[in-house]
Amino acid sequence: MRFNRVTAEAFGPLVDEELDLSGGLNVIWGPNEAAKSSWHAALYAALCGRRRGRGAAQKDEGFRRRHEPWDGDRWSVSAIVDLDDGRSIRLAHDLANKHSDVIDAQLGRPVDDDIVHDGSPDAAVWLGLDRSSFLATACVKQADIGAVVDDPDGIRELMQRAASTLGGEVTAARAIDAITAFKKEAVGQDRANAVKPLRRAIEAHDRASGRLDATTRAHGDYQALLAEVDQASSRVDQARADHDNAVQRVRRVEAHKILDDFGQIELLACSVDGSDNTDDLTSDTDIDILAGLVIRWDAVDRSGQFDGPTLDEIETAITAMPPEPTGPTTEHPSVVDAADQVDRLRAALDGLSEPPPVVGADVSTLDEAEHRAVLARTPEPRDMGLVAALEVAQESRSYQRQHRMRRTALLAFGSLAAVVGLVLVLFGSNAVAVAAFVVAAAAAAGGLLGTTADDTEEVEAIEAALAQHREQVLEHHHDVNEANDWLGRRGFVADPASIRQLSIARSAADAVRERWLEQSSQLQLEHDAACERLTSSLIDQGISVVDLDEALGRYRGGVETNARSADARRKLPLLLEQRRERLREQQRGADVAHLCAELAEAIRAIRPAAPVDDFDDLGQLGRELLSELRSEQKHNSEHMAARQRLQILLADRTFDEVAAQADEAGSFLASHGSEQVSDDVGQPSTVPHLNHLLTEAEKHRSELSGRLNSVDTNGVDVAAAEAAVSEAEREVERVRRLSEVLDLTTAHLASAEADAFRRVAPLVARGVTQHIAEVTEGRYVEALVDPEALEVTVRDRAGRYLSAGALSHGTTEQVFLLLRLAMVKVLTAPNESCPFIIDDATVHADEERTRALLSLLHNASHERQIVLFTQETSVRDWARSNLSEGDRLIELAPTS
Amino acid sequence: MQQDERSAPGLDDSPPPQLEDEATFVALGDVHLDTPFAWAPEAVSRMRRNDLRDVLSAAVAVAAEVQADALLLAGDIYEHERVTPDTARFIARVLNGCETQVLVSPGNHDWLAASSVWATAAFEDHVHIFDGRELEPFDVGPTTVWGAAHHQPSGTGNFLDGFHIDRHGFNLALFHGSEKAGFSIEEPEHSGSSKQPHAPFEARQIPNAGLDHAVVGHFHRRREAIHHTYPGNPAPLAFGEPGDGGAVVLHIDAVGGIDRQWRDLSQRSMHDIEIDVSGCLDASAIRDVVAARTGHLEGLIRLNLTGEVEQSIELVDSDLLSAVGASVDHAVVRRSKLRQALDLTTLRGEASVRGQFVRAVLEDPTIDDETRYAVLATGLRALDGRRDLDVAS
Repeated sequence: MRFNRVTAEAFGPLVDEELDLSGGLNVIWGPNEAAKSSWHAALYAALCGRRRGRGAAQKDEGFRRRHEPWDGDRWSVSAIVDLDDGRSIRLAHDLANKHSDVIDAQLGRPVDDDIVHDGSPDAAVWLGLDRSSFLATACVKQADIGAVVDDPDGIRELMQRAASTLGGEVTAARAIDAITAFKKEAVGQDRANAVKPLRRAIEAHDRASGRLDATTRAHGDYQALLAEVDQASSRVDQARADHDNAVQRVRRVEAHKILDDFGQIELLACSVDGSDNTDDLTSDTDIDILAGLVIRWDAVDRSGQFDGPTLDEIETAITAMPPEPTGPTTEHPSVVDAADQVDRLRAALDGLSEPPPVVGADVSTLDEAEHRAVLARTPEPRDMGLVAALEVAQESRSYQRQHRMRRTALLAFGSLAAVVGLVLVLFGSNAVAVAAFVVAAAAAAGGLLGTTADDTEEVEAIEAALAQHREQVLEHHHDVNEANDWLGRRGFVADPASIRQLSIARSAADAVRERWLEQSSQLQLEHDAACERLTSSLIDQGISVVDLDEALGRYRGGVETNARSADARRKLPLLLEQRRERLREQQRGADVAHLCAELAEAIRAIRPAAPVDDFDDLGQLGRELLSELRSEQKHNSEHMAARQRLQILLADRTFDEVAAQADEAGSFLASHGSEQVSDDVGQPSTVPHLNHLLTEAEKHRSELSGRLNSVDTNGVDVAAAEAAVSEAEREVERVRRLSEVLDLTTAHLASAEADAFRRVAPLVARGVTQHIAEVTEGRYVEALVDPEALEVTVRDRAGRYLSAGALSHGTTEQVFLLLRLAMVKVLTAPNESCPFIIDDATVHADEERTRALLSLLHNASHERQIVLFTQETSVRDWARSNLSEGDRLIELAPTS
Repeated sequence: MQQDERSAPGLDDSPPPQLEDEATFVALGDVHLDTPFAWAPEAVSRMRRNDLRDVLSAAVAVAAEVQADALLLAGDIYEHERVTPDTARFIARVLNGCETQVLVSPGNHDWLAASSVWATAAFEDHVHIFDGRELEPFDVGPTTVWGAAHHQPSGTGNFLDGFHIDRHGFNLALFHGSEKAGFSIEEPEHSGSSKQPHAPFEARQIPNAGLDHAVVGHFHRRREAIHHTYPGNPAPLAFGEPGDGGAVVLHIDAVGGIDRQWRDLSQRSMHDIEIDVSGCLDASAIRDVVAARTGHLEGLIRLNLTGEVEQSIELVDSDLLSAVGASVDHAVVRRSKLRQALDLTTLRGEASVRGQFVRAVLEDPTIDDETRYAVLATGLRALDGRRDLDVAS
């Protein structure tokens, strides 16, 4: 894009003024008051127009104040711009009314809809910019240059702003910081001690939820209480119905009773209606006395006298009775048993035969005799060949003695031969000496080899054995003689077999005698024990025992005496009974006489004229009188009972009153049913019980109703609690939603920043590097841009790297302009070259720096239109000398 | 008023009932006392609950005014799970104070339980609660009113299944249920689902059962069908409800003809207003539009702002609410459909961080459009140096 013509119909001091611009470097020179700033603003306004959105007036206020025409209502500017696609566009802005026309000059049709931004057409949109970013990107003011020169971080700030918002006020980093700060205040963190909206909303929600839970529980309790009250009311109703029914039943029962009682009263009243004759009645006491006497009369024993001895005879017989025995009348069983045992054992001992006799020697003597008989018959010991062996041994010993003599001779000869050999050796006769030695050796060998055992010891041993044998023979002869002598002295024959027979017979006899002795001893022991028991039994019966048999006889005599006395006294009870009977007969006669007198007196007391002289008829007379009196008494009792019953039934009422009540009861039954009620349900006692139940039920209901009435309505207002929870939920949701959006925005911004910086950094670095050597006359050869923060670094010829902020002012200005040009290229639409407008860029530069900058801009104008406003005459002069055909120098005259 | 033209088989063959005298009833249902109004701020929800009480009182006044033979309550008069002791006392007081007979058929929200108001409140004799699980008669002059109760909050079956009467005079049913044809209209979220409607019935079952008419509660939209009448809820419970319900005055003439007149009982209306503010160049212009659209309104208003406005316009709810008419008791602003005009086409062409940000957000497949818009607006505001970064609310 390039400005072709700008027309200020009415803009600041400009009225119907025009600027025709070339596509290359346009140097617009003018002294002070030549309206350079107005033309600078007019270019901007002609391209971008004025915004119309909310806040536009406020934002444009400064612009309006500076550039609104001083006179008249018009405020308009227009321009013709040529786009790189060949179109020529006419832009006409009525700035006062914020109305714009954008027309394709060739086609004559409006194209403003294509570039509307912020409420109005903005031709910067074709450049990929808008009226704000165009100002920040394509327009460079002198102040911008001064800022980066004075601020070491100015270039980086510039880069970041441009890359973030095309030169807006805010970098992406600041935007992220702003969001973070906003989130901190508008959201905060969900921590226990946090106080920002998120935590507050959560806590409010928790509180509301807690209240809702409590309210819901309370509401449940409330409804349960309602149900309880309902049930209690039902129970009251039931209790009341039961009570009322019971009362009705009782009343029916009472009515029936009244009617029944009235019927009885009527009958009783008739029965008791008559005179009262109770004064003529015999007293109950007299009747009771008479009754008692009649009973006694009837109870009199009238049985006859028994036959038997008289009272005197009986007394005599009793007196003659022997005394009562003091001891036993039968023998004690222990005495009987013990006595029988003693008798039986004595018989057994008496029955034993004499003990068997003892004949001949005893068994031990017979055994010794048998032993000596055997010894007497023992044969003499034999020599067992010892004599023959002795002869052989003596012969052998003689031979051995001859042999030892020959061997001694050989050894002596050998020794001599050896001595001879030695002598010969000494004398040098070796050969002979050898022979001597051989002979000596042979003789020695013969002597040594011929050595034999000596049999002298064997001969001596045989001789010793033979001597021992002879001693044994002598001892045998001694023993035989001694045995025969012993046997002879005792009358035995040295025959072991016969002696043996005698020993066996003696052993059998000894065994028989032994058994007899044992049996006799056992019987004696048992007899002694039985005597002991008998003695003890007698002593137990009080009998002293010195002589057992005498004591037993004495005991048995006493028992027999006692038995006889007891037998005589068996008649005594009969005698005593007979004596008592005779005595009772005497007493009964006296009692009857007395009873007759009493009965006669009692009868006369009741019936004075009664015949009581005949005692035999008194009983019958008394019974008849008593029966008569009983009958009178019964009739009188019935009469009294009827009167009492009547009194009870009347219960202090008059008959008429009872009759009235009976009429009332009849009417009640007639109206409420006259059917009978069973006793159990009609009992009056059930009414108080049911009344108690009714009272208890009403009391329980009253208590529940009291609790119900005390229920706090607000405490069970579930609807309000739910509404509060919903409101809190909405707030939590709002804050969380805001948090989510802020987080997403931050993430996307950070990501976009990183992406954009990575893309922009190398492009800008390349754009600066292309020209840096040229504009710095070779001092710097390369520019580097850090993609993290868009920090700019330059490398000099020596390969050293310097931060852009550390360069000289002149170099900083140059690098700044190169960066701005590179940024314009990078940040604007790739298919449209963006004009570059500069205002007094060289005002602080010296001549050399000015030339360098102008040269830089001149070179850059090959790529895009550059419009340079200046008041410097040196610049004008440079333009006059250096601008070419595609450039233009416009010299403004001071405005009037 | 919409007349339901659907007819039931054999309807024309039914002889008209002959009455000794005319009868007049006032029918009401679905008041939903103690509903939480969770969508509203606490103060507003409390105000609305009080409004509902006024509705019940007004219905009683209507019954007195027209000298009705009975006031018919078709269920859901209150909400069992939320009813307060104060509301229980209120119901008892108002109904006991009614000069006419009151007949109540509990619904699924005020179902009959041991703890329900209908079972526990001290009603006088002229207040009769139908407590049967099947329709039971109650004579009101020459008319027999047949009523039944829900005994549970859900799962109540069709009261008309197997029900048939043969009585002289006019037989009027009073219950709480869902007419099947209207179910898909009233509860579209449940139609076609496995959820069972409450006490469902078909309109033709009414004449087939020998009934001359039925007053039914449950649907909040009023219905004036041939054989049944839904009074509708007399006061909307939420924005979006039609709010055309109220108390119905049913006049039955001597030959069984029915005339129905609806009485609006709501003392406070609810308006769901949609305002397109596209073209408004600043917040003041929007406020002007809001003022113009709401100046004549009363009651409660929900402002649904739609359209597209410049990004630079700063809309603050309090500013908008101050513009609504003075007669409006409360207003809420919903601007989820309002979009700020972001020149995304231009911005996404920028080679800057801003352009990259716009492109990335627009191409992010993980976020929905509403979030995408909020992220874009927030980021662009931040890059513009603005501090009003809460665009998500």
